[in-house]
Amino acid sequence: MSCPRCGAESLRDEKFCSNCGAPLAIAESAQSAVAAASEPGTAPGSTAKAVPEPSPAPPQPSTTPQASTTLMSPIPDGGLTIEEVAAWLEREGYSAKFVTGESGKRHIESSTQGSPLNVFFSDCKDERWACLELAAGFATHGKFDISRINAWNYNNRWCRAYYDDVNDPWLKMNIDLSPGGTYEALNDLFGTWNRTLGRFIEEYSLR
Amino acid sequence: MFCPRCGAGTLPDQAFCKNCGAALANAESPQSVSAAASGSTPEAVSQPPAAPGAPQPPASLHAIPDGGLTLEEVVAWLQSGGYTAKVVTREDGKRHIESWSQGTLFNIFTPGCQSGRCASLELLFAFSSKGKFDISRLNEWNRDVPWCKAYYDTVNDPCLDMDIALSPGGTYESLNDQFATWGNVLGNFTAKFSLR
Repeated sequence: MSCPRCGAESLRDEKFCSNCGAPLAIAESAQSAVAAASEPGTAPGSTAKAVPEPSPAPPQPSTTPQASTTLMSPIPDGGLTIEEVAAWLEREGYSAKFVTGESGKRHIESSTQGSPLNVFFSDCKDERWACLELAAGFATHGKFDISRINAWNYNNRWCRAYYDDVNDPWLKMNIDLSPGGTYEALNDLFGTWNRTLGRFIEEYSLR
Repeated sequence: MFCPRCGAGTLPDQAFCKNCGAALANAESPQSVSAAASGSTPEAVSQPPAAPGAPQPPASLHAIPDGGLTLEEVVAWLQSGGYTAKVVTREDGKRHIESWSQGTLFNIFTPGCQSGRCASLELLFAFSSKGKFDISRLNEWNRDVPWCKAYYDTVNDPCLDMDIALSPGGTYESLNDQFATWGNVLGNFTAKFSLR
């Protein structure tokens, strides 16, 4: 049996991959999820209201005629540990260094697109983090034209830009890991981050 | 060697416990790998934490179809949660969704759909302030508040925007969670800037 995430070989009675830590029940659970999503039946419950009346309840999954045909690699409930995020970055070919901030909170320093990348964490339970924040800041020594930052946020998706106390530009993006996160979505969003960061650097000549 | 969390036997080259999935700090730890890769000094690297909680695979996930959702499926999903939602066709023939959160109208756009399926959603709230909005306050929002970006449009009206990926790898559990975040952040945005 091979790990559905990294491909490493494992024995049938092993619950987790010894190489990447992925739960080896992934294949079974993902297949059952796909099957569940493809089952006909439960139509959406409530009908449209005549006037806008918000409901505090979040929407529930609607059944759809087509389920994902791709075997998914779910992220564990609660998200990832900092070590698992570092391991994921390194598997994708990026550096990852643990840094402890002045507050004692840890984050990861990496680099993409030739610029520093900080990965911050939020929403923690039992050392698993449900949310990531990707952040890249650029020291421009006062040369950045802050009047251009709104145009970025107006014209571009996925990441928010701002200038800090010394008028240096930052780009940030948040990624939800749990509940319901998958490595496929994480990889896709990280690719989006890289492309968006590249455009940000190019648009504002931040090399 | 033994796993520090569950006590299962481990081999020196194992990065994770085969029984509980804990990261094995006694093997080549992520910290030492990172330090070697980055060339940083040992002093700059944090000490490994205590073993984290065992990774629990989600009991069941409801996968979003490959390619994402159709507009009709997004509307059905919203309505199943009690939200009012309808598809609107604009003058140029393109379609989007109108919905409400806590009495606030917002739009859902779906750029880049293929064969009717949309791989992402763009949630957008725009407020007509008739020139009364102080645009200088938006940078502070983008600096301090995660998840949604704020900007002002061509007539200096404030907008709040959030993107949600649906495919690949999307699940309804994640979509619901991110949509709840949208509702919370939108409520904070309208309250902070008195946009009622």
